[in-house]
Amino acid sequence: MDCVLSIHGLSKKYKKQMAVNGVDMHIDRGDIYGFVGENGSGKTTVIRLITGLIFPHAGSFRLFGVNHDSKEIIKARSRIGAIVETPSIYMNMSAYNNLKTQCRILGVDDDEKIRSVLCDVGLGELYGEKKHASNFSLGMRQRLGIAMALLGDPEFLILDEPMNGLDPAGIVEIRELILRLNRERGITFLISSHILSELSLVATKYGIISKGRLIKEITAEQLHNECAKAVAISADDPQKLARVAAEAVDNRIECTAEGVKIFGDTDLNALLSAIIGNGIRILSVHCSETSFEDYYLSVIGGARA
Amino acid sequence: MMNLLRADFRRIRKDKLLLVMGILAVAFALITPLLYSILFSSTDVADDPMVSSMLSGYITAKSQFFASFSLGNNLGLAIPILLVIILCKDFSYGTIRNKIIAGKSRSAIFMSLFISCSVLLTAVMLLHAFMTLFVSLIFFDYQATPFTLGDFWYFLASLAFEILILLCIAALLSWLCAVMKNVGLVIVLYVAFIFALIIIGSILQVVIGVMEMTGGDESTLSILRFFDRINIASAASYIGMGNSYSIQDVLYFTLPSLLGIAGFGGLGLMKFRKKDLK
Repeated sequence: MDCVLSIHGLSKKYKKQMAVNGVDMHIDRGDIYGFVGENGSGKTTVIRLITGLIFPHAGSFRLFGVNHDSKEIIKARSRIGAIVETPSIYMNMSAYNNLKTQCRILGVDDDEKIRSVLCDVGLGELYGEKKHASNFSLGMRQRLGIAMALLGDPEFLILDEPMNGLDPAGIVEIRELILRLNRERGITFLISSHILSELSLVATKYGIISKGRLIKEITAEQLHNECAKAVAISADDPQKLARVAAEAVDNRIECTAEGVKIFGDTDLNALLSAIIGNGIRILSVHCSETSFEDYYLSVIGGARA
Repeated sequence: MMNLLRADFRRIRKDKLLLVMGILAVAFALITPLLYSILFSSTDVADDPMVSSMLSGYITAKSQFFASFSLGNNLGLAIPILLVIILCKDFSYGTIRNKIIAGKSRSAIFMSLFISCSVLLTAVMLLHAFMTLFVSLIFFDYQATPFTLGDFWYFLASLAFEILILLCIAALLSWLCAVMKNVGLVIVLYVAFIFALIIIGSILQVVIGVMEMTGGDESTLSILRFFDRINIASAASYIGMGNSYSIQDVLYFTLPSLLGIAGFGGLGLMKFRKKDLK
């Protein structure tokens, strides 16, 4: 698959503090990469490094196949759009004038494009409106920031906490916008967020960062398997139990010392009848389900320890 | 680069502070000659032929015009401060990030900042100076002697020297804007720098004056004169105050400014290219 961003051993130090320490990341074209981590874990620093706002102390990254210290990186960067921390907008200008100024930077002069990106982010009514951005709500500023990032038709969009300040309806709109842009225009996303439940509705891949280190990179499918419902059954004859369970259900089965762990939804009555019918004595049955939050905390907990 | 310049000029044009700068430039251009004319027409001055003739030789439209470029007067301080507030908005609003993410090089971003700062500073100061000249011409003669073609070339040369000094100030402001973290710090450092130059210039002129009267050591005097002449804040005391320039004058009025532009501009560019941005 075409790689949009690959990071190898990227590090950034502020005075004596390592903000980012040997991060490795890989984002393929079409991915919606959920970048998860607690406050101060280094998410924004990684985003700043990618966008060229700060310079790494060690390591490297390749953006669209271009090495970060190559002169061509400036050209590669023109293929991305980003919101870093807060939306970068002129507070003393209207939404239209902000977008028009960004158009000048990008060398395009297309009012229809301005109207279209404003409509995309749900701010269509602000086209031609003279209200200054300083009078906008946080959510409106966030949407305007996304509109500015969309103006250059980016292939890769980096959104740092895009749901910040948005009301529930706004969150749904932005989520739908992300999914639509990914589906229709094939835009690759890197989204950092604290709202794990929200992120889990859009992300196809996750990176979990803690204390400047990327502890886990996992696809949505892998995560689904990790977090899926599971039934742990222990019995007096674990080997026979495993054989009977495999015959009774089509689910993924993991053998343990005490018995089996069966993932996904299962017809528990039928399964238990089959086990008892085969003369196996059941010692315990334990149902469990791991949420993304639980999974994240277990991963972070491991990192903290 | 052109795209960046177009964007910068657009945002400057949309800033209300630009209007404030224009109003200040015009207001000061009207007030100063008016105050001098009132002073002239006051009975005490008009009745004293000695004071009257001294002032009429000193206060002319020409002297008013060139004095209006002084960095130490009200407008000379106010305009760069307002300019800094406009230019630093790119850093305080974080909109500088849009330029970097849009794939613009840091060198181009800094050059665009320097060019827009130079154009704006020069435009406002020229507006103020020419308004001062036109208003002064209503009340005073251009100079005590008739205006000749030589005076015209002298005027153009003086104007070029003043513009070079303004470009040097623009380079200083661009360097400060690009390197410092907040607008307040930029303003404090700029005012401190200009005041330091003015104070050093004043002390040097007093010491030189005293030494000339008391017949001080000639080699010490020439060293002091050299430092006085290379001080861009003292240039207002010399530029446009005569009728012609020697080669030495031309060097004194051009080299410090050119060195300032290259120095501050180069330092700013170097520092900005390596600077971590918020």
